[in-house]
Amino acid sequence: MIDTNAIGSFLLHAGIVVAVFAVLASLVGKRREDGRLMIAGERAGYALTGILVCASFLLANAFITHDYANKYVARYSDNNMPWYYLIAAFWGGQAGSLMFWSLVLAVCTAIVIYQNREKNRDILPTVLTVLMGMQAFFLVLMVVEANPFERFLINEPPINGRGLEPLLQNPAMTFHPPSILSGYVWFTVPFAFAVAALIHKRRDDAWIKTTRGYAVISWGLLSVGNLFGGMWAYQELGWGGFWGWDPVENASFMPWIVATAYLHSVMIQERRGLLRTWNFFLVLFTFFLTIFGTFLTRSGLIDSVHTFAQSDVGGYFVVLLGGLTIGSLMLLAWRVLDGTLRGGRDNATIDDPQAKALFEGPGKWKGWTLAFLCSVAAIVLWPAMAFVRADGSLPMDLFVVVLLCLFAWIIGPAVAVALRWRMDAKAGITDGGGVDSLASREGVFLLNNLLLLGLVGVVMFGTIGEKISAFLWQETKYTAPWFNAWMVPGGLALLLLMGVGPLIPWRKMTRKSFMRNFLVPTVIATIGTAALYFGDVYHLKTHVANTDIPIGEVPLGRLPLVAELTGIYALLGFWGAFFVFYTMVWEFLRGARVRSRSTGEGYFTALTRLTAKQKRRYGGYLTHIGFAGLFLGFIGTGLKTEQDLTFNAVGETHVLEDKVLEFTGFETEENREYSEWFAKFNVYQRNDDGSQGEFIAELWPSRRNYHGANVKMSRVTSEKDEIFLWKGNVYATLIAMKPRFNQAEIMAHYNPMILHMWIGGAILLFGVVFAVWPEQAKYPVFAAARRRRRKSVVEGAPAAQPLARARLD
Amino acid sequence: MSEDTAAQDAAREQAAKREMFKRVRLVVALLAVVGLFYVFMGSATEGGQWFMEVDEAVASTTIPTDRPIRVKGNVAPGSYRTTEGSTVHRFAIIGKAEAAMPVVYDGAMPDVFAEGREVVVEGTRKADGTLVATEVIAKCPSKYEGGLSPEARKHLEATGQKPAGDHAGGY
Repeated sequence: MIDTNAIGSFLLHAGIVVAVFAVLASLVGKRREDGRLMIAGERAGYALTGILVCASFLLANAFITHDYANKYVARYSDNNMPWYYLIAAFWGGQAGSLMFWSLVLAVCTAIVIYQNREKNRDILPTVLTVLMGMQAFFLVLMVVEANPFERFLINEPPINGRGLEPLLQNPAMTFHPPSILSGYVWFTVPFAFAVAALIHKRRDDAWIKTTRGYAVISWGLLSVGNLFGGMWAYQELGWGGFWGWDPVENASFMPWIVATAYLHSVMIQERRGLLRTWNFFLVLFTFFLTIFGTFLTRSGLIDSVHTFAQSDVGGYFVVLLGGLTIGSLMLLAWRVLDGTLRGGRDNATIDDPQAKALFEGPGKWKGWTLAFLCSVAAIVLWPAMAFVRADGSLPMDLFVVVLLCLFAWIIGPAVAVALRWRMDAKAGITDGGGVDSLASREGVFLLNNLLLLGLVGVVMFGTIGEKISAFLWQETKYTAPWFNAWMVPGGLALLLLMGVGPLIPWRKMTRKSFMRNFLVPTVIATIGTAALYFGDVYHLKTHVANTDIPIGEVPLGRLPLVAELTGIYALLGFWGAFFVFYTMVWEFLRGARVRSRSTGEGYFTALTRLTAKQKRRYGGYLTHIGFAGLFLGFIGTGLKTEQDLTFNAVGETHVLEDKVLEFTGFETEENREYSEWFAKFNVYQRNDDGSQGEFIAELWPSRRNYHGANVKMSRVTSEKDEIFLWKGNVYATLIAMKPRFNQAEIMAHYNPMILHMWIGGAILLFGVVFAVWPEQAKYPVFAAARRRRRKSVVEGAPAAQPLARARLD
Repeated sequence: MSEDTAAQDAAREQAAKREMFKRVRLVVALLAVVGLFYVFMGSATEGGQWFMEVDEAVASTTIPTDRPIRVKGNVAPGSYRTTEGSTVHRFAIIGKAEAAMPVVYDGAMPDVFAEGREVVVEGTRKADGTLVATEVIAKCPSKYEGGLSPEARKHLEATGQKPAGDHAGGY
């Protein structure tokens, strides 16, 4: 019999060789401007994709065929699991997650090579070097620390596996990890192009245009991944919420925030030629945060509810984080200082004798010496920490290194830019302009960026604060209330900016345009909010009346934490959501009207043609509409009610908000995996006079007892049931039951507007897909084929000329 | 000639004004940032829950009575008291030292709560040293794989075994 695990292992080892070859070939090829070597590097990239696809297929096959000789398969699957959870078990553990990471990165690399076969030729080898370098890192990590093809040493494999944790057996969990991981991986491409553009002193927007799609897709995957994560928590953990500010959740949220900032600030560069340095910084930092997130979830440094992999890969990631920080920041600082990244539409480098003197003249060594000293300091620092540490525990000094990295990300770019400004001021060089007025489109984008970066700071501090505080004052855990105190007002500000953005013109807004653009949405949002308030929907009046800001009674720092602002926040949130929704929909309608007037097309034709022509813009607006929906869900979490209800007999009723719950008995069900007890309830509408109204639906929360292949895994889970309603969902979990006495205790939640949130998420996803949907005419395969055909007609030459590609621009 | 200089003067004045405006804007922005940072750091030191081991919490004399804290320890064997039908639970948690910390909790107990188990209790410490809990989190040994305590890990390593489930978990 063929040992597929040995083949898999071999493929991984071969992958390392190929990746290292690709790195060397691209590096040397670029250095010597040797086209053949560069092509060889590209082909190695394709080869690696093939290798990893094969290896992944082998692993998936091992799961499907229940090959328990494989340790990983035996650990994460069992004979009872349906095929879709077997596939999900692929990324159920560390080794498989790394494998999946490698696979997606390989596919990405192949796409990049193919897309850029006729453009960006001069920077592609450097791009490949970065991509393949990352690939090599993950392959080495897999082979050394977490090989998914590791076999049991004994000859007789177990008959059955240990199975996947029941909590993870949920449809949302099948999508959540791959979307997050793919989101991380897709961002490697913008990162690689940014590095290459920096190395080769590119001032123009070519790298941004090439990687725009990747950035948007990455952002979309991260959004969807986080939404699925929230959905999983909402369905499976039974606490009626979807986001708990857990370190693991924050880990995937932080790169998302910075990526959001990037997607917006990039527009200022394309439009006005501003913020070059800032954009590079955002891309590099986002990538750093994706690795940081992986480190956080993998190293077990911060205790999380989702205690997953506490393994030895933490050290590897710290080295990677350190390397990324030093490399990225040095490169960025260098290009800032030599003036390559100055603002302005003009793409030529401004000739600057001072910069020349610093990097090319007799003083050339200053820059290099600085770089060298920094690297040495960093490399020495880590082992040095080993001597400093008190009790020999590794995570703490790993953490110090990470902390230093974070500090460097804040200080490094700021220092470089300040130095540059000083040098410019002395030399009398004015750069290409700035943001003239905050009341302009670029001003709004700028505010949005600052706000987003501020929010990242909050999330970052809340996540790793328990370690920092242990150093400085008293070890403190930062939990949801602390996060909410900052993130809720921050989110609301973001929502308002989202609505304001499209209404403000570039450069400067006049009073006239302000009145023209803002009057209608303001009035509509105000009327809508007032209607909700006076209708006392979700007890808004009570919430607003409860507003309490105890100024002077508590220390200033405590104020955000104890102020009771639910009502005010809800009103602001509704106002913002209405405003955004109206503005965005109006953008569509107005655009269609203008187009239909000028072209004479029908209204609907005009709408489809208009949006198809500017996919990115209108996809973005769709995403914003989705966000308005998401925010309704967020507001809902502030307005929810939660009740612990005990039913002592069949027919007993309890009231939950405007619903009446009637207990009707128990039901059981048994299957191969678990036995399940349902408590049954009829849910009725409650009339204003308190009487029981019409029947809505049945509610069957339950408790499951998993048999499990392994006795240790066998356990009880509580499964929620939910009724989806437009105004608010009824959600219940069964806490305790005594079927013999017909007694049941449930935790019943009334969750306002949760449905809007999921719909908003779907619209968001649709917007992203819409924005990146390829143009038919620009479809690379067809376009290339057409071009070749045309060329062969003109020149009468054969179409394919592979080596011609090696010519450089 | 004089018109020219007048125009120049006006332009210069306007430029100076713009410069002044920029400077004021910068100062305002800086003040706002500093103020925000001050409140933020305040919330960082004042907010959150102090996290401590039982022994530390028992020994400490500086915990304000309204300060939310999180105490980790083991449920003392034989200390658990509750009455049928009541949601009030009383127990004590102990650490390595002798001193125990009494806990009063009014709410639903987690299924995996048991005497001897490791628990994390959230609440405030009253003047008599009782911890009035708002939440009790019990660690279930089989709930998640790979969640070995550092002590258990050290023990395994000391005895030359490789911790099982080392590569466990994932997203």
